[in-house]
Amino acid sequence: MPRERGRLTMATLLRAGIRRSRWRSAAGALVSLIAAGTLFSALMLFSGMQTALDASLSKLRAELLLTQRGGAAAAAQLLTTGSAPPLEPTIPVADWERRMREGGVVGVVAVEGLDLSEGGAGAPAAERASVLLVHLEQWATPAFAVAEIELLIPEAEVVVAEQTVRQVARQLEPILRYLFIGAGVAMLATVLLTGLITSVRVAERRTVLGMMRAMGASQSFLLRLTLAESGLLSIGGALLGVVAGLFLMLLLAGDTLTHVPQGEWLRYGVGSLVATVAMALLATLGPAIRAARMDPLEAARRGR
Amino acid sequence: MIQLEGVAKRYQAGGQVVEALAEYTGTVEDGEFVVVTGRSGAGKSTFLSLIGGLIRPDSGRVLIDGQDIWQLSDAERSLMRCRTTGFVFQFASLIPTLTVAENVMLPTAFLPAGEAPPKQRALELLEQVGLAGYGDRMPWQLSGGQQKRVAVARALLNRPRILLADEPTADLDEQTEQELMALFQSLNRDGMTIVMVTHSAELASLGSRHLILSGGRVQSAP
Repeated sequence: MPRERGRLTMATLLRAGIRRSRWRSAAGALVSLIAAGTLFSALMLFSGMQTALDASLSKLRAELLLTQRGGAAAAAQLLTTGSAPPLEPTIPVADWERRMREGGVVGVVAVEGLDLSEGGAGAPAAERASVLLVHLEQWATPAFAVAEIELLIPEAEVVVAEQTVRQVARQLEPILRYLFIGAGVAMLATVLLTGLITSVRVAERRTVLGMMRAMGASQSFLLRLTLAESGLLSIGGALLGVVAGLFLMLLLAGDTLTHVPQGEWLRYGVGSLVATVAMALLATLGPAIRAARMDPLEAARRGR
Repeated sequence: MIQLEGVAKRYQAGGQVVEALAEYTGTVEDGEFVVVTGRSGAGKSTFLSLIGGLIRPDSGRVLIDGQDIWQLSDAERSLMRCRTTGFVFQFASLIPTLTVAENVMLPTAFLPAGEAPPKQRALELLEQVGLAGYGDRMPWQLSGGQQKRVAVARALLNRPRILLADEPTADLDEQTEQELMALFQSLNRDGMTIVMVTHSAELASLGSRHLILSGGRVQSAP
């Protein structure tokens, strides 16, 4: 116990300072909580959506998806999320494949049937399929193939993979933009509010800080004390923010989060925490320097 | 020994330059009890801050035991202040979330680990200022006079040779004021150098020397 040995440690002073103005300490931590939570959520959602799209594309490796009329939405969902709602297997695989071959659709490499009667990622289907995956040569132009298929198989609906993904990405863009704007605003608010809260905390403890200076605290000690106090509150708040953001995202967009690679979770969590704490420390620097440079006797009098 | 050589300090106030201390040269010998009086705004606190190395003079030198304190780095000057000088403020300025004993031990936070006196020293000082058994209480459980005595114990923790007091009797009732002055005189008899700033002319007679500050100039009282 450092106290029993007779020396007061900085940890004791930090605890005393945080306990002294509990509400302002809580407000400081709350600001970091919101900032870190928003940033973490935005990063996770962005990463999840990107990875989900990439994964679906690379998993299907098909440039075109063919369905019966009314099945395009399910095919698009399969494409963008890797999972589709149940869809009846009504496509005669051999017949459609023959019509494409005999019609001479340019650039077709292979055709695969997929049974989505159970929904989800589906199972290979040889006779009756819910979706037909059409693989094209690299040089082939999907638009030409689509035009030919629509002539040869009028009952088919054609979904162009790249087009659909681009469309989904376009739809997601404003959501992600707002999310990142929210994160930016939260970070800015962190700087402003943390600076304001620290200024108030320093002002209300002007007397004590001045007294410490007179007792022998160096400027660097007071600077470290003020920064450490804000840093501790910010770390605590940001940690809770990351955890809260994670739970919120799991609740609201759990499917999307499952696509975020394992290592990225930690990277985004640590990144959000470090960015938030760095912002809070940056905002604390000004008031901390003022605290370290104050004239103790003047501070003692004005503090009253 | 504290020496001030041509020390001057000016302030900007309302667009005007105010001379808080004008080219003062003087010495406070070891074991002296110097009382500095003057009207409000005469520069008494500035004088004390200059002696304690809390503010930098515009010109001149402040020497403690022959060492020009402004030749030292802030860390060295702060450590020197922690080892040699105790401060008593107009207000007790105790930390409300620390116990009374922890408040007394506050200066140990600024000392190197090996130099910190044991907790027993804080308890002995509390006993010396008439607050035996109060160590575990919180500051808000004490009266204003008791809090001031805790502040005195805190100033004495590191066994300083110099005690600087800024209006230490302000806000105190007559009896507590007398007790505090008796304690100061006792400390002075034991060899401690004391420089006390006060607006009370009555307390001036308690010191071994009386300085009067007026318009930035220091005069010795007859």
